[in-house]
Amino acid sequence: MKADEVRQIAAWLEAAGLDSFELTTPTARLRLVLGGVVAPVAEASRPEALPAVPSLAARGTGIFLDAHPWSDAPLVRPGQRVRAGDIVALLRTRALIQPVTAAEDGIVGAQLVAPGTMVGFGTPLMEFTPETRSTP
Amino acid sequence: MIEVVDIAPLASVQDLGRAPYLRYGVSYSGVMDRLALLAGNVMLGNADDLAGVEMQAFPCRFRFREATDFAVTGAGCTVTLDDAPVLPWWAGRAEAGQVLTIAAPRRGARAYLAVAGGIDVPVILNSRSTQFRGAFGGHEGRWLQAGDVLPVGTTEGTLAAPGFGAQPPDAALPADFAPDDLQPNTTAVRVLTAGEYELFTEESQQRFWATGWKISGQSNRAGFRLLGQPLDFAKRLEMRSHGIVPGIVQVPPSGEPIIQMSDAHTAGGYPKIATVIEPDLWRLAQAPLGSRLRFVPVAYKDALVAVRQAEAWVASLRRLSGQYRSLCATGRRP
Repeated sequence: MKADEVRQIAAWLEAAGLDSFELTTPTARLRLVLGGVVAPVAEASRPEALPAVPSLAARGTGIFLDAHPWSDAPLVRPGQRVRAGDIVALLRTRALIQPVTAAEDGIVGAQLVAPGTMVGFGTPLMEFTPETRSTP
Repeated sequence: MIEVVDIAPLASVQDLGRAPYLRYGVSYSGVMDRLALLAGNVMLGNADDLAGVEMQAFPCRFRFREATDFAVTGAGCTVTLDDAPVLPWWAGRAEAGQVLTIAAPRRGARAYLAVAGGIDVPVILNSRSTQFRGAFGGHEGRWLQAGDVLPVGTTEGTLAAPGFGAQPPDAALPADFAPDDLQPNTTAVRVLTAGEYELFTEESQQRFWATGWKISGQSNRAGFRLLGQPLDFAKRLEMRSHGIVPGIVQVPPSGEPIIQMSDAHTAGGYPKIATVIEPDLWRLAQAPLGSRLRFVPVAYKDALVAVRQAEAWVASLRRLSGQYRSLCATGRRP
């Protein structure tokens, strides 16, 4: 995480009237508390199960859905090839449903969270193997 | 502008209707499923009273002449933008020349197309809704036809592909009031008993609640004719015509109930056994012909709770959609 990203998060917290923020990623843990210096955070234990392959992470918060609420069929199945921009999952926040899209062409793998789980920004949702598009 | 490329019968331009003119004998008109059009407008950041297209038969196909933000809500149809699938209750962006296809629903009955800026037909008597009996409002006062070109209000589109969705209201506003013995393919709606409920025999009053009333093929935007064992009057009553509103359940001399809907006359003289509460009218609108209805009694104060629950769902969608659209507008789309 870059310093200007931390600064941006701090600005968002202030704008939203929030006073603390915690973020855990596979490689780091960040804790921001606005308005004062606090004791350092105890050494974070590294998450044990790092995804073995690159994964597709949530870029918002919400309840993870692998299928539309009106459909029994998941949006994608393990092994399915998707194009950049394809919807691979959904995140629901109350009445709103946000799409989770593939950032690049690739093949989706196993789901890493169960449908119905509340996930946060950065939570790995499913394995994802990027593919370089072959140029003819 | 939107071109109507292909259209099944019974599609029309509608907004939330002409309630203030009921007193002058002008029927309500307006969408059958107010929640669906409202949600579409809310997702797009439109004013609540802008018009969309109501579809009751399928498939329907529209070509966007300019890049346009759109939302498809209501029935669970198979929807595609060119060849790309569009999820139910979804708002997205169509580029100039793209064609939106709305095919037959797998659930529900009526689908709604809303566009950013609304379908900008002239406002007549405070509404853009098509009034068929008077042949005014909407697009030339009539059902839509292939080849029609619908004007769209000017607005700045802000959505980026692939857009976003709304939680369908049957999940947010579950029919937890339905009786335990509800049969499949049956929609439960809450009703308040109406002025002439006491005119029916006690046996018929019980049967009114216990019957899965079948929605006959002779049902339309004006009203739903229900099929079932006729209800018996304990006392016959000749009534003068009086004002009626969408949702009223009348019982004509035949004994089979009729529910008045959006295009109902403004007055009628049949005895009224009940009234479907406003927050359940969308459930009626999405009940297909041939499916069944169960009437569930509700207390007035619980009906008001239902109104507030639906309003809270719309308010939540309004706030979150607004935030999501502003993220899209600043390029920080999640």
